[in-house]
Amino acid sequence: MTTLAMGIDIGSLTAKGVLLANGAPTAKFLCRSLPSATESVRSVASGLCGHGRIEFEQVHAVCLTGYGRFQAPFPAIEKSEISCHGLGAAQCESSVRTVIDIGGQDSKVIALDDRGLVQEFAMNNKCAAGTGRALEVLAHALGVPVEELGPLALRGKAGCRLSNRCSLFMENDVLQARRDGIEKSAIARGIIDAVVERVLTLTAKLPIRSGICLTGGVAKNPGVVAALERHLDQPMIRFEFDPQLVGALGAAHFAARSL
Amino acid sequence: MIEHAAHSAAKMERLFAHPWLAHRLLVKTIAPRLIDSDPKWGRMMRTTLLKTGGATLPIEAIPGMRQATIATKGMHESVVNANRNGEPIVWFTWPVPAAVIAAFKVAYFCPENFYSIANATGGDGSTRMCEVADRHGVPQEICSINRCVLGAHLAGELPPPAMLITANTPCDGNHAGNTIVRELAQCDHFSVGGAYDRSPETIAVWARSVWELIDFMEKRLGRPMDWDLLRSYAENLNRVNAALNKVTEMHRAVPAPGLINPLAVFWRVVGGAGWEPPVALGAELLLEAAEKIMAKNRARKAPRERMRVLLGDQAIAWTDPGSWLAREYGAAVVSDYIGSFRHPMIDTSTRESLIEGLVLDRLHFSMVRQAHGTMEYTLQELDTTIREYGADCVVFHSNVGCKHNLALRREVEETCRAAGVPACFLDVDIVDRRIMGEDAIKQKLRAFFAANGLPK
Amino acid sequence: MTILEEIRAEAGRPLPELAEKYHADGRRCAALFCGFIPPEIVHAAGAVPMRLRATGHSGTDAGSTYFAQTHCSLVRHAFDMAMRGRFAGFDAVMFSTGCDHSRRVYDAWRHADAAPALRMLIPVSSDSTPAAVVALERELEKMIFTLREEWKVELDDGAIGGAIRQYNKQRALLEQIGRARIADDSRLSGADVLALHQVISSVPVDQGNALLERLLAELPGMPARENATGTRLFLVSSHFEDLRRMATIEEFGGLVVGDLMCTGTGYFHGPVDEAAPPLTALAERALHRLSCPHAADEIDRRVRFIVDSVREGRCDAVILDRLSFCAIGAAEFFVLARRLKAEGIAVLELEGELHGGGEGQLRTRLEAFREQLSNRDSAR
Repeated sequence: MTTLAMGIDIGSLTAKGVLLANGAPTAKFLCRSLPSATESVRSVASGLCGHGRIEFEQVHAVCLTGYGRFQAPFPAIEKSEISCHGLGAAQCESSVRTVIDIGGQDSKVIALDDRGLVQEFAMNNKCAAGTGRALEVLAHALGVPVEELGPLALRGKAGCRLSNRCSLFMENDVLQARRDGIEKSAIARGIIDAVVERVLTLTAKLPIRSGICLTGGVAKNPGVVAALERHLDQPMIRFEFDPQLVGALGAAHFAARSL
Repeated sequence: MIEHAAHSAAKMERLFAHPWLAHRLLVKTIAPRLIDSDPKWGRMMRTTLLKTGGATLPIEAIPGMRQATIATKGMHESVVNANRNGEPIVWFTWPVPAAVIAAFKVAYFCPENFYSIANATGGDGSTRMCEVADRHGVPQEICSINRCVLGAHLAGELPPPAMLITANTPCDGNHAGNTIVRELAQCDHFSVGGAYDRSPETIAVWARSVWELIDFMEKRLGRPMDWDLLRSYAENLNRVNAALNKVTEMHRAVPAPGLINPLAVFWRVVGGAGWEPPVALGAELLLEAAEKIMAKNRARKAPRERMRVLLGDQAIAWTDPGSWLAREYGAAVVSDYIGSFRHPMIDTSTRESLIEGLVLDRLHFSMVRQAHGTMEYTLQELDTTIREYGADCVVFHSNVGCKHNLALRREVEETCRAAGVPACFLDVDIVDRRIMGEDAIKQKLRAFFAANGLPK
Repeated sequence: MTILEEIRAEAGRPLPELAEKYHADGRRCAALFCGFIPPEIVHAAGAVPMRLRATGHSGTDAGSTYFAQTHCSLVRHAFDMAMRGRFAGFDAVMFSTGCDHSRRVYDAWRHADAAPALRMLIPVSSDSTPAAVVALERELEKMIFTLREEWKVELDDGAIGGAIRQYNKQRALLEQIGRARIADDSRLSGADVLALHQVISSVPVDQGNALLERLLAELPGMPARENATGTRLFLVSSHFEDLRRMATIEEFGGLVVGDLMCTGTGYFHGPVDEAAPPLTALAERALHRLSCPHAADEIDRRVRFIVDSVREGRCDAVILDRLSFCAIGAAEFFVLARRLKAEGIAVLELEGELHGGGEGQLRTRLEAFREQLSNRDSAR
C-alpha cells in the first residue's frame, strides 16, 4: 500500500505543498497566498491532490507549517517552519548543517544536527530589511523586475554601499544612486549585499558550520547565492529540488514520520 | 587603524610645521576639491581635512592645530608601543576623570574617541567597524559610537585593555556598550559613579568614587599615584579650559573667528589626553589665533556671514558640512555641541578640591555635559547659545541611536521656536554613513533653508 | 471564585481604578515607575506605593507626541496614560534614572504638566560602589524631605523601619511562593505568579501579605498543574506585564517556573537589612539586589542567580524576553545568551512591545524552540 503524506507551508506571500508517496515527492504545488489562511490550505491540498491524481481522503497524514498552520480546516499535525525547513533541506542533501531561509517577510538561520533536526535557530525580529520583500521593493525602485535583480547583480561591480537598517532608507539610497548615475548592475549588487549582510547578522547568534544551504524563494536569486558565498567564504549547497518548496517538503516528511 | 591614525597625525604635524605651505596646499588647493566629491585620490585625507576645517580653516589656527596633531600622535603612539611591549593599557570612558589614570604613568586609551579617528584613513572606517559589530551580533539598539568601539575591538583594531575604567553614565549607549566591552575584554574593571546633577553635594559624593578608583588602581598596579603629576595635569587642564572657554565665547562675535572645527578637534584630544602639555600649548595657541582673527576682523572689512548656524548636537564622524555651508550659503557655524568648552577651573590647592575639580571638569566635557541630567541642562544651554551666539537656525544631526536626545525633540523644538529660530532635524547616524549619506544631508538642508527663507 | 481567579481579576484592574478606591478609603497613592524606588518610604509616609503599569490601557498616540516609535513601549504607554489624565487620581509619581527612555519620562511629564503635580526623580547609579550607596542615601533623604513637606507627614526612621519589616515579611512570603512554584506538583503557572506580583505591587503591604498568607494556606489544596512535569522554563525580562504574553509563552513554550524580571522576582528578591540604619539599608538593597540590567555591576550575580535557579528549578531552558528598542536590555541579553549557552543552557531570545502584537511570530518561535528542546532530549 502506498503511504501518502502531505506537507503544506502557508507563507505570507506564497502557499506551497508537497505530496510524498512512500517518502518520495510525487506532487508539488505553489500559488499566491489567499487572504484567508484556511482557503490557502484548502487550495494547496486541492492542488496537490489534482497533481497527484488522488483524492484527499487517501492521504494518511498532513502536516501544516507557516502562519497558516494555526487555521487547519482538517485534522493535521503542525510543525514550525523552522523545523520544516531544516528537515526539508536535510532530505534534499544529508550533509546540510546550516539552513538560511530568506522568506517573504522574515529570515532565519537554522543549525541542524545530523538527523536534520533543529539544534538552534535565529530569526529576524523587527523589520523587512533582510527579507524577500525588501528585494521586491528595491528591485522596483531600481526599475527592474525582481527576477532580473540577481543576474543583474552578478554583472555589477562592488562599491555601491547601501544602508540596511530599514527598507525605506534603502529605497531612498537606491533612488539616490540612480540619480548619481551609478550603473544599475552595481546598484543591484549593492542591494543584494545590503540584504545579505542584514541576514548574516543572525549568524552571529549560532554556530555556522560547513554544509550551508539557502531555502525559500530567494534561493532562486543567483545574486543572493553569490553574495552569501562571498560573505561566508564557502560554497552553498544547491538542490535540484525547488528551494521554495523545501519547507513544505519538510512538513510532508514530518507528516510521514507521524504515521 | 590606531597606527594609521598616529602616522596620519605625524604627517599632518610635519605639514603644520609650515603654516603657509599647509594652508596653501590643504585649505586653498585640496579641500575645495573635496567638498562635493569623494575622488579616489583624495579619499585618504578627505574626512580628516573636512573635520579639521576643510576650506574654512584659518591660517592662524595652524600652530594650535599642530599641537593637537602632536597630542594625537602621542596618544596613539604610546598605546601602540605599550601594546608592542606587552605593557598594560588602561581603557577609560569619557566621563571618567582620566587624568587620575594618567597620573599612574600607565598607558591609557579612550575607546570612545575611536569613532572620531576611525575615518582618518578614508571616510568609512567608522562605518566598517559598525559592520563588523553587526556581523558579531552586537545589538543595533546600541548607539553607533559604542558599536564602532565594539566592532573595532572585535576586528582587533584596538589594543586590548588590561584594565577597564568606566562610567555607566550619561547615557544608554555608554552603559550598554560598556557591558559588552567588559564581557569581551574580560579584564579588571572599575566603575566610577556618575552624577546626575552638578550640585556641590552631588559632586562631593561622586568624588568619593574617584578616591575608590585611586585605591583600586594602586592595588592593581602595585604603585601609588603620583599626586604631583596629577596636580600638574590639572594645571594643564586649567590652561586648556581657560583658553578654549574663551575661544568658544569669542564665537559670539559677529563675525565669529571661524574656529569651530579646531575646537571640535581639541574636544577629541582633550577627551583622550587633555592633561598633556601639547594640548595646553595648542589651546593657548588657538586662543592667540582667535585673538588675531578678531583683531583682523575689526581692522578691516571682515568676510560677511550671511547665516549663522548652530549645530545642536553631536558632530558627524564621517563628514563635515561646514565647508559646504560656507561655500553654498556664505554660512558660518558659530556654535557646535562638541566644539564647545564651558569648563570650570580646577582648584588644585588640596587633594580633595583637586579630585572634586576633576570630577566637575569631566562632567562639563562636551557630550557628557549635555547628556546628563534633566532636560533643563540641555534646554537652558541651547536657549542661551541661540540667543548669545545670534544663531539664524539650528541644525540637529539627531543621531538615530541617541534616545535621550530623541526624547527631548519636542522640548527642543519649542525652545527653538520660543527663541525665534527654525530648527532642522536630520536623523543621520553620526558614525554609520549607511543610514543617511552626505547627498541626502545636503538635500535636506537645502530644503530646510529654502523653506525658512535662509539666508535672510 | 478561586483565589487564583481573584488574583487574576485584580491584576487586570487598571491602576487609576485602584487609586480611586484608595482615595475613597482616605489613603494617598504614589505611582512608582521603577523598581529602584523603595516602596517602604512611600508606605511609611502613609501612602500606597503602586508599581506603575499600563494594564488595561491601549494606544500610545498621545504618548507619541513626545516619544518616537523607537522609544520603549512602556514609556510610550505610561506617558500616554499621563497625557490622558489617567494619573490625576494619584498623589505623586516617582521616577528614576534607569535608562534614557525612563529618565526622559520625568522630563516630558513636567514639560507637559501632566498630573499629578508632585513628580519626583530619584537618580540611581548603575554602579554599586560605596560611593553609589552614599549617593543613593542622599537621594532618599531628599525624597523623604519632599514627602514630609508636601504631605505634612512625620516619616521618621521608626516608621521606615516598621515598613521595612512589613516588606521583608512580604519578600519572605514570596520566597515561599517561589519554592512552591518549582515543585514537581506545582499549582502555580507563570501567569498566576505574574498576576500575583502585579497585585502585590499595587496594594498596601499589609493587604498583600494577607493575600500571600492566604494563598500559601490554600495552595496544598489546589490541583497540581498538568504541565508541571513538561517543558519547564525560566523567564528573564525587564518590565513584563502582559498576562496574555505570559499565557502564550506557557501555552506554546512551557511552564514558567522561575523568573528574573523587574516586575517579578528581581523586584522582590532579597530582604532589607533590619539591623542597619534604614536609609543605608534601603540604598544597599536597591543597589545590591538582583534587580535589572540597569545595575551594570551586578551582572555576574544575575547570571549566577539564573544558572542556580535553572538547576534548582530543573528548567529545560531560559527565555530572554525584552522590550523592543531597549539598548541596555539588548546588551544584557548579549552577555546572558553567551554565558548561559556556555553553561549548556538552551536559550531563546525574544523581543516585543509592552502589550500585544506579533502573537503569530511569538508562537512560531516558541513552538520551534520546544521542537529544538525535544530534538536535544531525543539525541541524548
